[in-house]
Amino acid sequence: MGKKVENYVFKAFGFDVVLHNVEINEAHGEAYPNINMNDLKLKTAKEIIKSKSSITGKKLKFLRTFLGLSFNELSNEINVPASTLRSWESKKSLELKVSVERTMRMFFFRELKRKEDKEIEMMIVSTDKYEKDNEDELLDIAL
Amino acid sequence: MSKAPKKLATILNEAKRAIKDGCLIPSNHAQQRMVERDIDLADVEEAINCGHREPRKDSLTPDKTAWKYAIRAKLSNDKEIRVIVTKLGNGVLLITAIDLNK
Repeated sequence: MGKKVENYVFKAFGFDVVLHNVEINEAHGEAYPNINMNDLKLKTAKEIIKSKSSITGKKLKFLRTFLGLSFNELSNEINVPASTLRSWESKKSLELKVSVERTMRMFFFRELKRKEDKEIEMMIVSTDKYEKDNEDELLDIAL
Repeated sequence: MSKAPKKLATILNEAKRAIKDGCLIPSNHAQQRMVERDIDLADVEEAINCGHREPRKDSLTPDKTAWKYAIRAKLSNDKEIRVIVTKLGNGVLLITAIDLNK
């Protein structure tokens, strides 16, 4: 078991995310946080969407890629040219119109909800399959 | 003298699976280098999903018990990067990422 760190600053998304009570492990001389990246991405996405602070280029890129959206898909939804989105992602700070930022947050919120619903559906489908597999196994044993 | 460990031929697929499962973990060192080189996790994941192995850039870990594997890719944002990973239990540890254009 590694050592617990009260406040750990995760930097790999291109912006800082402070995590609490993270276990730090070591392998082959490399220290690393004991976290699940899917959980961290989901929590980070929710925080960015809810946050009152402005969306930066890196946060925009994080949300777009986490939700699996292309520049064109996002462009069509928020009526901003794909080339503009591309340039926004490379900027440290964005000064977006309130209406654009609101439209963007609402779209990301809906996409996030859709992604979560899809994941729950997939979990249910795979649970059905797991139980069916087990039934087959039990049947084999009984025979 | 102990023998060198065997290389995993499936490391690229294992890294792709680790992304899906949320177990491609950036080491503290990798995170620091990524900040310095303006490479983010989305770049690293794109490199793994779309890139190719670069076996001549592989090397052994300092304790010589495992291999560090190199993966190279040209990204959609025109960056060309190399990422170095090693196997970590059921997941994959990101050791560093390098911008090849700088």
